[in-house]
Amino acid sequence: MTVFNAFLKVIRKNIGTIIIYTLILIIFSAATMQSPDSSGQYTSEKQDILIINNDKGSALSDHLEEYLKANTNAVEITGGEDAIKDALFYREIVYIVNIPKGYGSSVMAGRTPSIEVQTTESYGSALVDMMLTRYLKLQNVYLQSGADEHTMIHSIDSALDDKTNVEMISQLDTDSLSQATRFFDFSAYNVTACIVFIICLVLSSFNDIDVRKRTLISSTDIKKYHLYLLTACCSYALAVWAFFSVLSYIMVGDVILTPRGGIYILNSLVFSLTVLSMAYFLSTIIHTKTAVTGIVNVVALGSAFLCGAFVPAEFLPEWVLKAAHILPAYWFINSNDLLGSMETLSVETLKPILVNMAALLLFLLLFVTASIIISRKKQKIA
Amino acid sequence: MFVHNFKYSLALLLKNRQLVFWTIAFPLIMAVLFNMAFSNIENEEAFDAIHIAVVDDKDFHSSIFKTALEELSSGDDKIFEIEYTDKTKAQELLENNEITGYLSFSGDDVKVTINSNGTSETILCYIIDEIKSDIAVITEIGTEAVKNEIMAGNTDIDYEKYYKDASELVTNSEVNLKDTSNHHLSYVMIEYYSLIAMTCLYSGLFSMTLVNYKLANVSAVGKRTAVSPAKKGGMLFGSLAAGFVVQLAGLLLLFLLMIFVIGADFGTNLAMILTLSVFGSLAGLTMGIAVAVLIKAGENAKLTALIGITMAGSFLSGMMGITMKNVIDKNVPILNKINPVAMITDGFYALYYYDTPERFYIDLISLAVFSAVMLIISWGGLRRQRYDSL
Repeated sequence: MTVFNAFLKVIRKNIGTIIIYTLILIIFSAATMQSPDSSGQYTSEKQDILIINNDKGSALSDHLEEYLKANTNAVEITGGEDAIKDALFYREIVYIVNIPKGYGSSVMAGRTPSIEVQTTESYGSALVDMMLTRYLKLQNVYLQSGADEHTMIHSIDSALDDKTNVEMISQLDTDSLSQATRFFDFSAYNVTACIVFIICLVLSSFNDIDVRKRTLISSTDIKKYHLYLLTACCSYALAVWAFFSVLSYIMVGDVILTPRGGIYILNSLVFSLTVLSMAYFLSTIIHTKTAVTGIVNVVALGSAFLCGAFVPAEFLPEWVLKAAHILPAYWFINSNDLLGSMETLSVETLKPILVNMAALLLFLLLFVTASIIISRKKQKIA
Repeated sequence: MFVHNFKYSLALLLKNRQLVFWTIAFPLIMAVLFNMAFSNIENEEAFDAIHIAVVDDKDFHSSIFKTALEELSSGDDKIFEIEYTDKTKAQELLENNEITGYLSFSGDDVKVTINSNGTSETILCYIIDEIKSDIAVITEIGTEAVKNEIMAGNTDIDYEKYYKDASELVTNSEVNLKDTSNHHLSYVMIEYYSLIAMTCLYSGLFSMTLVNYKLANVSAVGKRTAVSPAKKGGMLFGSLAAGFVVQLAGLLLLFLLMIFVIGADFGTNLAMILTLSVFGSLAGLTMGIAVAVLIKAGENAKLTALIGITMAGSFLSGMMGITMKNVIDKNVPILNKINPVAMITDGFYALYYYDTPERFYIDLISLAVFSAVMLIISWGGLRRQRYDSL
């Protein structure tokens, strides 16, 4: 009971830190929240752009503006030039189209006046670029074939109306799945920080050389003492896991209650236990409480950055991902990513996930063995 | 007294391992981690050829799409990377997410098969729409021309020529777009800037530690200092100068790592960058003094408060997510106007992205004002302190 009490005391003292880590996770998953889309139908993705039409009133310029508005998500930006610059930098918009004054009449007079554009050089801006180019090409073609303004607008409209037959094969609710994946990926950071931080703080108190000496010469059965310590640590890790699992249901929704959601949760359980063993191992090599905060930050942030908890793994350089294989978080995140895009669940498709879990368990075994060896050595010194 | 205090404060700071970790090692570690995580993200975002498959059967070979697709998948700025294969393989590639989609042909018609909605998928469908409508336009213009010839009574009509002309008209149509984009668009830079800003503010840890040594109600050294006849101003100034020197040395290390190892882009004006860092460090230093003086609590509580303020400031200025700075700037601008971390981050941003220096100078002045305010409010707490007993 003394052991449990000590645990609770440390948790109570550091509740602020735990709350901060939880809040970070909530803010993050709320920020990446998307409205679910499970229609299974192809819908073109609309890019956010800014249209500045300095030639209002000209039928041609207005038609171009209308066309862009119909095919993109035209946003209004208030606050002048600087606000527009900032919006482009922070990817609030991916493209700016600036239709100059007198554009329409200049085109009808047979000239090709330039349209000023600004891009972010991304996929989204490439798409808008294609749309604009296609429109202007058609405008040119009809102009050169001698059409008047009215016929031209009409012909452009009918040419743009041509739509291809598109079939979408995936019936997965990709949006909620990707949200679940991002939640669990990010949770790698919070789970690591919460478990390693508290476990290391508690164990460093118990591992204090004077405390150890007192425990060793006391009448307490040393096996029982270790058993209590282990049970307390496990209960804490399980509590953290349970808490984040409930949180995942609150943030992500019903997907968590499906069999796939069950695998996410199971994967998270295996990871939590592996992190627990890592914390146990770290506590055998950390000697002072002040060092705990530093080590926790380096371990939690380091594995989160390198394994794809913050930046999705697909965006990481290959060599970083290769190096990340030596960290448990990599295997955990890899399973989440696989679950997010897996079309059907079967023994065959789940194989890589089982392999990842086996890797995590191997880490667990490794950390436990290393901790036992080190603490045996320490005991002799004590 | 100044030199004496300077020397001992220097030793005091450098021997404090926890302090050295948070102010010097931690920012360096974060910079390396940022680099590993973000070095690829903008390459991934930049437009690259889209991988698709084409069902290579006889319908495709007789299709008018063939030439168009070949053109789109050749050259340096190609749009598609095409794998020609059979339907089963194409389906398999799509299911494994190795391609964005595949095209299958029947007669003159084309079908696009994709996995899910997304930008690449939209681009694919859009281009196929375009090819289709181009073909329709060529037919329409060609037919119109032929019709005109017939109406004019011309019987000797070279049909091929009219369609060829129409096709040339469509493919050679030039578009006049003037791209005036700023090429300094790497938003990952904000991460590095906010990291430097955080490091600047961490200089508060130095000044706080040093001021604690001077406060009679915090440390034993403080009590001894208080009863000694030494001039307090000179002592404090010597200590703070030592803190400032250690801070600048740490910043220099960070800059060297960022510029030479990571390759972060700070624009071209080195003098302005250094000025901003010095002003930022001063803001941190003065904030540390203010926290040390104003918060009447133990050393640990002060430390937590200082790190808490710095972390919250870094969060609001975009260190944990680049868009946060923009969200605050737009919705609660006052918050980042009084946040020293945001002033520094914004100053770097202005140097990197803006062509005019006004925004940078506003940030610089804000930092100077912030430092002055911090000093003024600490002043009352530092001078003429008398204790009847402690």
